Amino acid sequence: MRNRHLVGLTALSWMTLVLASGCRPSKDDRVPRPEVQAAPANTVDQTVQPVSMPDLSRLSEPVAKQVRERFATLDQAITRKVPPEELGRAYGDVGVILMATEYPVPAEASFRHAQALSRTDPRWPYYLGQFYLGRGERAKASEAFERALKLRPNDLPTLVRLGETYLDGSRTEDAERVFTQALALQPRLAAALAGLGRAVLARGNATRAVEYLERALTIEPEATSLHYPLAMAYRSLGELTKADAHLKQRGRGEPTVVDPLMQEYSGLLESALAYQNRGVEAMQSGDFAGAAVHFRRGLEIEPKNAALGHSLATALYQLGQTDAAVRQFEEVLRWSPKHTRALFSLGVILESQGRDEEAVARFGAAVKYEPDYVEARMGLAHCLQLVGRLDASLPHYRHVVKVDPRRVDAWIDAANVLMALGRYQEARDWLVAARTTHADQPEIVSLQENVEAILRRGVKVP
Amino acid sequence: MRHPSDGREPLGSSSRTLFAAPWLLALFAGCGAGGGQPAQQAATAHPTPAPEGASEWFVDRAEATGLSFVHVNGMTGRFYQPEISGSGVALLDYDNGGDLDVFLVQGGTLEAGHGQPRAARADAGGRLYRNDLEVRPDGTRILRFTDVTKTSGIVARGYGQGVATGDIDNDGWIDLYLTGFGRNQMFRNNGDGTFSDVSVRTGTDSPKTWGVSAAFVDVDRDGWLDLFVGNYLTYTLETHTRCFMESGQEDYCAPGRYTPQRSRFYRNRGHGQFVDATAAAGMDREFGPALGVSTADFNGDGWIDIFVANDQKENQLWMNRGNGTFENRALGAGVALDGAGVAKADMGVDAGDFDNDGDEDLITTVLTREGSTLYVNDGTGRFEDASLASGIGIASRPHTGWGVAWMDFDNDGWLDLLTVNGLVKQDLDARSAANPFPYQQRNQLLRNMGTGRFEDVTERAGKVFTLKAVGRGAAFGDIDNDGDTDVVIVNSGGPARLLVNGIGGRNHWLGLRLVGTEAGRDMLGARVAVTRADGRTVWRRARADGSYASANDPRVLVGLGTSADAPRVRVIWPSGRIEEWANVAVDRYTTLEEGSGRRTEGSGRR
Repeated sequence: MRNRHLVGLTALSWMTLVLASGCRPSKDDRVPRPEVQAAPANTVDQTVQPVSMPDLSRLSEPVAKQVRERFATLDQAITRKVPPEELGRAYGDVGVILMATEYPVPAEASFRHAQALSRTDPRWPYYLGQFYLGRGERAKASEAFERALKLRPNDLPTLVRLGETYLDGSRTEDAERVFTQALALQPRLAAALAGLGRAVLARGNATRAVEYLERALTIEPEATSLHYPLAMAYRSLGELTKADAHLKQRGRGEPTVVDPLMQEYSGLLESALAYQNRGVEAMQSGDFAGAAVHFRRGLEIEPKNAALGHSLATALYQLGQTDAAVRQFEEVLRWSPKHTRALFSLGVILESQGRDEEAVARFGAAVKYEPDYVEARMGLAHCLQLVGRLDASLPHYRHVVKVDPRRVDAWIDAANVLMALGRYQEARDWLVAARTTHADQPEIVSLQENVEAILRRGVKVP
Repeated sequence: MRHPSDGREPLGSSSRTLFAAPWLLALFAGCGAGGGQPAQQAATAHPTPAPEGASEWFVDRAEATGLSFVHVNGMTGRFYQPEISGSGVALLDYDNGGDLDVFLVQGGTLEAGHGQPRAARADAGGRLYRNDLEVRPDGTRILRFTDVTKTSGIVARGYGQGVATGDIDNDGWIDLYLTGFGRNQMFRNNGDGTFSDVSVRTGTDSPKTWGVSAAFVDVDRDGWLDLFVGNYLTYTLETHTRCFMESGQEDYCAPGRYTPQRSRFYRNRGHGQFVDATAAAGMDREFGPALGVSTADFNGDGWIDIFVANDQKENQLWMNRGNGTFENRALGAGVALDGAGVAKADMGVDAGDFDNDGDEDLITTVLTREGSTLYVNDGTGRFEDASLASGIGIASRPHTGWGVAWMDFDNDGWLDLLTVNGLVKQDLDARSAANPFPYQQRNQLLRNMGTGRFEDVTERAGKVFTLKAVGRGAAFGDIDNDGDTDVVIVNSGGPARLLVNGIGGRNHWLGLRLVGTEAGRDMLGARVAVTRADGRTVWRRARADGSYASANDPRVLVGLGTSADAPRVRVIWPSGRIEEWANVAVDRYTTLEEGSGRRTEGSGRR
């Protein structure tokens, strides 16, 4: 039981990156906003408004600083009357930061100016395409990606994004064309194979869809999201067993495309949350050292940020630096004493170290502050058993199944506790209740049979 | 990959983790920008002029008719989760006056540390409006509403979310079930204009839950309406967590930040006495953050099934086994996820036969960028995602949709779609001192072209469709009994709207009220086949559920296009009995009673 819980809790513990922390004083939002000078009229897109720096008061200071710096660069470029390509770059850089900070109107204007000034630079129509995708404007996104492709015909990310945009616009033939073009450049590009699979499936050719999607999964088994459309394709063909098998394997992994522009975009913002997100991505891909770097960088921007602190502690634990992880979790609790995720994570570590009483205290604190925190309750119930307080564990199992009756482990563990205490009648009643939700669960069925047998033998309750 | 202006919530929601931990979320705290000053959201903002020559298919008559309700969402900058999800509205004939009255669900102000959420003012809470429709001899209709809440006995406590309607004790008077954050309430109609709170007595009060959509339906064919309640999240104000965008702006959390709360199924044992049968029905095993509920016989086996739309988790399709238990077949049926395998943020839902092939299809409304999902039924309870092929997916992508219904707005015989929209993530470009919580969007009307495709006709639908608001619940029904479908909309933090239909009257129609003889109530779930003189058959269903957190007109309204020929009507009652009526009068409402063969004709338009 200990190993099962430890594995389960360990696997879960580093995922708990939820937090709360304290306040900072609010910023004065009446910082003067320098207007950007209008660029020479014959070089910008005359159909859009000039770009002026928006109200940055809602941004965190490091991010606001980034925006101001880019606007300053643009201002200087205009003042110095630099060549159009350079001015376009300045507009484009402004567009990217405005897109990232969610100022859509000036972002779009900036990209369109950039596009008009740097007519041979594929970056700006590509970012414009991403911008329109983000707003659900597929037709405009397609046009923008098409422009980018004209400038860089063999760019794989552009081909894939354009294909996906065509697909989402029901332009399946166009989608097939560009995905095929991508495959000609990179025959093992799972994203293109997946796109082709979706395109032909949309046109009713399930047989070919299966071929493409199976190939994509062979190349990139981590692209577990493809199991679903593959299942639907098999279902169309009447191959229900295969469909079910793929449904069971479905996940969230997407086929990958190396996209330097969007990688640059994703790494742009100097905000605590941006580093948190990058760290989470790194954790998900197993790069715990990289994750720790991101979390530390985030903490430099926002010290005492409990989410980042908790994330860092989790990364350290995954790196095997348990003592450092414990110190970091405890630091988080100094910042935020009711941080239930940190309390839970500490409980997990303490339990793994055999410090069961201390683990009880931590788990207990977590459920005190968050009564329906199921994982913490399970941890608490388990540790109470370890310290010999079997009876005390039962209310926690009851609470768990009340909140989430799907928790088979809670039903099973509580049944075992009741039997260990010799409370067989209660164990039977408990297992009967368990079977209303888990009628055929083998362990529950077996436990019920055992306790029924015990009761038939007339075992005396101590 | 993340996108700017992502319809999804701030990054760090559960969708990104490989380990499916719902609480895996990257958050950090700064200081909230909002102080403690209550700030009412702008009611409606930023009207854009309608295109020149636009005809008024729909006109907002709320204020003119006395339906002067303003929803309070309590937004103050603390971003408490329930503030973003309410509320709903019901159309019901509570006084059996022959016209639809309106109940509007109210929110309130949430205050941590006070256990139960409470309304901001003592006289707040849901409001009941009696419809005093007057039809003059010349056919002119005067629509008037009177707020009768005070005398009705309905005291809605707490922070309201949704409403369901149904006659729980078969006394011929429709009752009300209110869902909310913290508790639900059942109000029994006393038949004299008043209601009694029977929440505890009926066993349906469900304390410490967060209920949103609910549906009354007789799943076991015993003649009594059972109740399904969709619960959303396990959330308290005390465990509220702050969520931010990467740029630093605070906003509401994605649902994945919290664990889903299991939904409940209550079986009516008779006379309005319910028992929690969630576990016994097999519905304990799977649940998600439920926002939308729609009931229909999806596989044509004669037993009513239940579809549950979940927010960023797999949906459930509870197929009725006919023995009191259900099995979730959503995944195999193709409705758990969209065609690409994505668990969208399903919020509103409706079932209807949009392609007139005799089975119930499904539409769900979702976040901006996702596109509403159209699931087309093959008749056996298996569905294909036709969102893109139909044009619905693309047209709806710029919107975050909530209340929705299959409604034949022009009575041409094809079910159209009206969606009520409003963001869950701030439109930061629209933020101002006058509009500190900018979640407004326009509503949308999609016309069914009869070819499997839909046309966006929003720009032609009337000035009211140019207005932006934070749309949430919507109830659909013929509020002025003129044979076309009207809509009542709840806007979060804003005034309710009454969209009176002015175009449906250009075509012929058939109105049916389907009642049970013993039950004396609307037979929710009854299916109707209307066969016209040319042999074409249209299938419809008596239902009050669907949309978002709302309850619809239970009558059946069928558009007949230009045909004035009296059709043949076949009814499949929830009991399984089938009856037919020939030459049912058009352009009027007719009451069909189960088993009696009697036909009662009401007043008509022509």
